[in-house]
Amino acid sequence: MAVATITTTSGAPTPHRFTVDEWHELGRLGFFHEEARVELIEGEIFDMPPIGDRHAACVAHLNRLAVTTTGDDAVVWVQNPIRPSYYSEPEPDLALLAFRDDFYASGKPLPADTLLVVEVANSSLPFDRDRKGPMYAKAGIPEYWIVDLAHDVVLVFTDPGPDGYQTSSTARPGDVLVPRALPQVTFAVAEILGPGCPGGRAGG
Amino acid sequence: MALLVLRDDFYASGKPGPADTLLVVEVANSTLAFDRDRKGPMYAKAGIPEYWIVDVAHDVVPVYTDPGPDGYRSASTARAGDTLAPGLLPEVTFAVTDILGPG
Repeated sequence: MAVATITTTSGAPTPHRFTVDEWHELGRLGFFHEEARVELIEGEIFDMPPIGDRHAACVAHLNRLAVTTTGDDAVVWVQNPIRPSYYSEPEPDLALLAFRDDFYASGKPLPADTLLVVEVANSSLPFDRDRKGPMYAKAGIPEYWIVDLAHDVVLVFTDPGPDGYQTSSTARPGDVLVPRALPQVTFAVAEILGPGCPGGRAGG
Repeated sequence: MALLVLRDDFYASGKPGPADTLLVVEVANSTLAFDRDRKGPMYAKAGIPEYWIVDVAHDVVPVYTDPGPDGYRSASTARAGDTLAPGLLPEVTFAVTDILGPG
């Protein structure tokens, strides 16, 4: 298999930037342990941190809210890979994708298929905001939310551009979030954050 | 995927243990041997009552029940056209054809 290389005009060595094809070849070769949690972000391979208890609970809340309000208007995609570019294959905690009968069995979701991405963050907030955010924005994914568990808020990013999302806001318990591409789908912030946060409520 | 006993806090205060876990499902393509021979005994030793593997390479769902210290004692195979329901949640039904998807 040919391996893509990148050279600079100065001739100085640069880190190898893995493509999604190389990434999948590593998978076929069994390069990583079956249980390894790794992600390809802009050509670099990152270890995903272990999922904390509150993070896991938040993903369960998001899944429930998405499935109960989305119906067949979108495919609910939980911690599955998406393909924002030729150099990235992240596994966001939740994504909402344009509905397809085969549920993307024939090919991973591309930016045009991706209506919303949600990451749940605790200690990973800087990475989710400053590395993943620009990656999603450059790909043109229309909306990106970060559930900031440390501060009990949801950061909302819209209007993607080559330099990142141009619009951002903060949602708090009591607010209701509605993805721009799916106005019939609603997420109460208090339910995303779950009981135990200020203003949080149990899922009904 | 796992189905867990409902808790108001959705397990924010602590990860689910075996007593909370009603069903575990793994989807396997190249990982079938690992999911069957490493994870299966692990789930059985823990006492998790039911374990399904969605074998996408062969379009079947092996179903394991009756956990014991040496593994699951009962096994069967579900195919397209069958309907699966977890023993502890008999009202929850999964059409195998829907799990495997079109094609």
